[in-house]
Formats: sequence, C-alpha cells, structure tokens
Amino acid sequence: MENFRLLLIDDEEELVSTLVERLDMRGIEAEYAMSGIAALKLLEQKKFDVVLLDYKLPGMSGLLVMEEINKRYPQIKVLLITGAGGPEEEITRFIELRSGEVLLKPIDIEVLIETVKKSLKEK
Amino acid sequence: MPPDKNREDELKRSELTFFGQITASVTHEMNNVIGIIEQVAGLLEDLAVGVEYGRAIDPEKLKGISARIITQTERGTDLIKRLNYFAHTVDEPVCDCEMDELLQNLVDLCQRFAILQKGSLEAELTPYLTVRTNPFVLEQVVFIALRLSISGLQKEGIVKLTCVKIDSGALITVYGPAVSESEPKEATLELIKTLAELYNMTINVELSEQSSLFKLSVPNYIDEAVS
Repeated sequence: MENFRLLLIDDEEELVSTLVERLDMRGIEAEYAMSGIAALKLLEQKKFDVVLLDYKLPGMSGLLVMEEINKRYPQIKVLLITGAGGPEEEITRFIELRSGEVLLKPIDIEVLIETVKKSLKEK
Repeated sequence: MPPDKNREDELKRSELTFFGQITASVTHEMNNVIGIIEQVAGLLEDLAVGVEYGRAIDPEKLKGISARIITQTERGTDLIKRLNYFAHTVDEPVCDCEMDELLQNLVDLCQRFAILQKGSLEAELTPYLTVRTNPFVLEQVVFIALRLSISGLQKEGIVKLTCVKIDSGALITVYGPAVSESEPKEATLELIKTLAELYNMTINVELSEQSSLFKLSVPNYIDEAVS
C-alpha cells in the first residue's frame, strides 16, 4: 500500500471512477468528487494527502476550490488537471507558478503517480 | 477609421469569437471522451497483466468495460456530428434552414456552458419550420442571447429556448434568469441588434432584475444581407 490518500475532483464521473479503480489496483487509496462543494464536504469527513483537481468544474470553479483547500487544509498538496489549449494555457502557466504541478488531460496513470510522489517529497 | 470599417471589424471579431467558443467547448469535451477511453483501455491492460499473474477476470466485467467504451465512442461521434453540422452552417450566406434541426444542434452545443453554471438548457421547437436566412448569423444571435441568459444561471436553473411559426416567419425566444452583472450588456446588446438587422431579423430584449427575455423574429425569406 502506498502511504498517501488521493482525492480526485472532476465532473467526468466515468473518467475519475476508472482512475480510482486503476489506482486501487496499484494499492493507492483514492476517492472522487464531482464538484468543488462535494469535494469540500468529503475533505471535512476524511483525511487526504493529495488533491487532484480539474480547474474547469461546474459551479464553484477549480481555482476557487484550490484557494479554499489551500486556506482550510494547507498541509494538502493540490495538483491541477486541465485540457490543453486557449486561455486554459494561461491559467495553467499561472498555476504552475503557484503550485508547480499541472497534469494535462488525457492523464497517463504512471505519470500521475510519479507526479504525486514527487510533489509529496517536495512538501 | 471610418465607422463602417469599425463595424465590419467588430462583426468579424464577433464571428470568430463565436466560432472559437463553440469549437473550444466541443474540443474540451472531446478531450474528456478520449481521456475516458484511454483510462478504460488502461483498465483492460491492467486486468490483462493481472491474468498473467494468475488472477481471473469476470466475463461480466469485460462486458461492462466494452459497454463503457461503446458509450464514449457514441458520445464522441455525436459531438463530431454536431460540430460538423455547425461548421457547415458557414457554407452558404443564405439557405433554407430547418429551424428545429438548426436550433436543437445549437442547444446541444451550448449545453456544456449551462452545465458549467450547474444549470441546463431546454428547447421547445416547432418541427418542420423552414425559413430562408443566414444560418450562421442566426446561430450567432441566438448564441449571444443564450450566453447572456446562461451567465445568470444558478444551481438547477433553466434557460429555455423556443421557436414557433408566425405569419411573417419564425419567432425564437430565449428566456432565463437575470443576466450576470459581470456581462458587458450594452455592447453585447448593440452587437446582437446589428447582427439581427443584417438579415432583416428583429430582436426585442427585456431585461429585469429577475429575468432575461430575448424575442427574435426571423422573416420567412431573405435573399441576401440587407447591408
């Protein structure tokens, strides 16, 4: 068992549920939420070490969710996932400056795990 | 710069913005579809590796995975069809437009904008209603009205688009919540009126603190742009 717990936040349920299943097969504990509000509720109930967050979420935007998590749970490492192209690239650059970790969709699971491990080491 | 040149530039910018917003939204969704297929394929690979280590696979699990791939390919195909239909609306400056087909496609393309606001779009369209107009400009005018209404959507809110036959052609309405304060209303309303007038359409806008209502009359027949 890897010694970190991961929360995935993305409104594409099929995507995050499959990722959670594949992470589980690799012995990594992961859960998912499909909105910022649902994620914040889950964070109140359970302990996570890393949050993987899609910045384009329905309702509360990914950036707002990130700010909220940084404020309430500064110990949690937040990584951003995004599609490539257009203004998203600008936001990606902005986030890179702040958190240093951005993953581009489609996500390679091995890259995801390596990035999470690396970011936890840097904490 | 002469006023006509300014207006022309503004209309061109608006066309490109419209085209860009639709294609960006669809390609974002396509990226998600590809991402899901990639993950599901990865899951199959993980299961295959498990078999190499002596783990059994439940055939029902495989059937489920196959169904998930099929669902996503259907979703992707549908997205491509919608985008392709939309892209072809620039082919002719004026043509016979099946209103229910044209507007339903636009509503489907814009659904994601509403979902991002946690709301949804609904359409009630009279079938077999055809008008001769510029489909791209018509889509653009309706899109701007939809975007303004969507900007004020709250959780589970609805923006509704209707199209009915009237003596002079078609009447399209977009009804939704009050437009968000952050929207540049005046400039956008000016633009939407200019666009509508190009093809003899008339637009009536009623904005209040509670709601937004756009009524667009499209004439039965027009051969070319007015100016």
